[in-house]
Amino acid sequence: MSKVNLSHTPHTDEEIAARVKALEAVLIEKGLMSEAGVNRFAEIYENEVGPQLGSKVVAEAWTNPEFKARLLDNATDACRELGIGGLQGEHMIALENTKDVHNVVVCSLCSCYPWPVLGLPPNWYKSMAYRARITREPRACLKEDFGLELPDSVEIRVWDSNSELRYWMLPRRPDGTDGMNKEELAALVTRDSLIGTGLAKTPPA
Amino acid sequence: MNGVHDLGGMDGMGPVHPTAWEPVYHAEWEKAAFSFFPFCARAGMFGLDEFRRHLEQLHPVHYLTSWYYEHWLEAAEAIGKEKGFWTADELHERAAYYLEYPDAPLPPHDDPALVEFAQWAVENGFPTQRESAAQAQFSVGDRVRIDNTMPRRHHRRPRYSMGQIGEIILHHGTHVFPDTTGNGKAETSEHLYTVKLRQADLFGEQDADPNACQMVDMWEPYLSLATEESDK
Repeated sequence: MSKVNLSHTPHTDEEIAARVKALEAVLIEKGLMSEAGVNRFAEIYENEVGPQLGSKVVAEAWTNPEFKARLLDNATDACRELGIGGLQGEHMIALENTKDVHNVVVCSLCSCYPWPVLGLPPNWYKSMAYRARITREPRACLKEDFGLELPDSVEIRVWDSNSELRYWMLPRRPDGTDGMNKEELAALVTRDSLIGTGLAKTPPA
Repeated sequence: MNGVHDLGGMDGMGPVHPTAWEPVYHAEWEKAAFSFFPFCARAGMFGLDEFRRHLEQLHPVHYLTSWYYEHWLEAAEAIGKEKGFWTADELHERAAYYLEYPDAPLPPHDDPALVEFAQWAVENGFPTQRESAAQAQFSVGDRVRIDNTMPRRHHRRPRYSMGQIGEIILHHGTHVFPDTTGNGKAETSEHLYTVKLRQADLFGEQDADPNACQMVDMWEPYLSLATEESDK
């Protein structure tokens, strides 16, 4: 039988898959896990919970000033009004990005991310590079890595998700969107604009 | 824990390579590796802070060069082993088998409660705010100093924040304190605040962005009031 390598030398994908399956088998035999349970989690985060939910909240806030005030006051409760909330978003805080202040979120210690409005994080959000650089030189990181150039006059606030509070951004509503309905507006909200590494898209002229 | 996980502000990690879109799972095995955490938590094997403590104990070379969910796999393996749910040999033996026969089926088990749990957990989560009669020691606007000690146990003070002085900008009530739950102790809760730190204080005027700041969440025991004197 082949020997599975458990040292800190690189593991092949096949080795990791075998170890995952081994642990899964043990947990299944103990009645603590099931393939159907794993598939349900996967299905939820692949098809049901993702940035489309955050976009929906933003579109609501852009069109409903009272909702926007409630969102900025207590994002957890405001999102519940739209049926959005839960795991890794038990205590959410929405921060408003304006022309003068730009907020961006990171988890420098692990990978905390507001799942109810963004789904599971992309690999780059969990990467060493992002976790290190956005704190060290946020302006350069946003410009060089994300193509988001902010003038020196814009204050940048980097929020470290080191507790169980989950921060995400209410991006600025782009100009030229007067008359657009919520669905059209939601389509302008990107994953990155909710993280703070981007802005909402401008509609085609 | 003075570990490699504490990456905020480090140099040399290279540029970020963001993606416009990427799949939620990059390999089929990531689905189960992701699910170990919620199912083991359901089984009472560990909570989030204890899980994090194990992630922080991974070897730095390995931590920096492996997939994120591989970390999750290893933390789950380690905690279950520590608590007697399985032995290393048991896992080795099974892993060797599945390495040789990757398509061999998993044992059957179709308890509907596990599927219902997935749905329930996603919808409800696990709030960490707690009711407490304890009076908050600090208020918004206070200038506070962050504890600069480096205990050899789980805590949530990033290295860049240690010993720094900043201003409390938010108070969030009392939340579960990771320094107890993350270290095998009975849960306690503490007042939680957000502290605003100037980039210039973290990195020095020369290299810092004069118009950028870092917000970090701090539980009350991490803080002391910064007096005029200690402020200097």
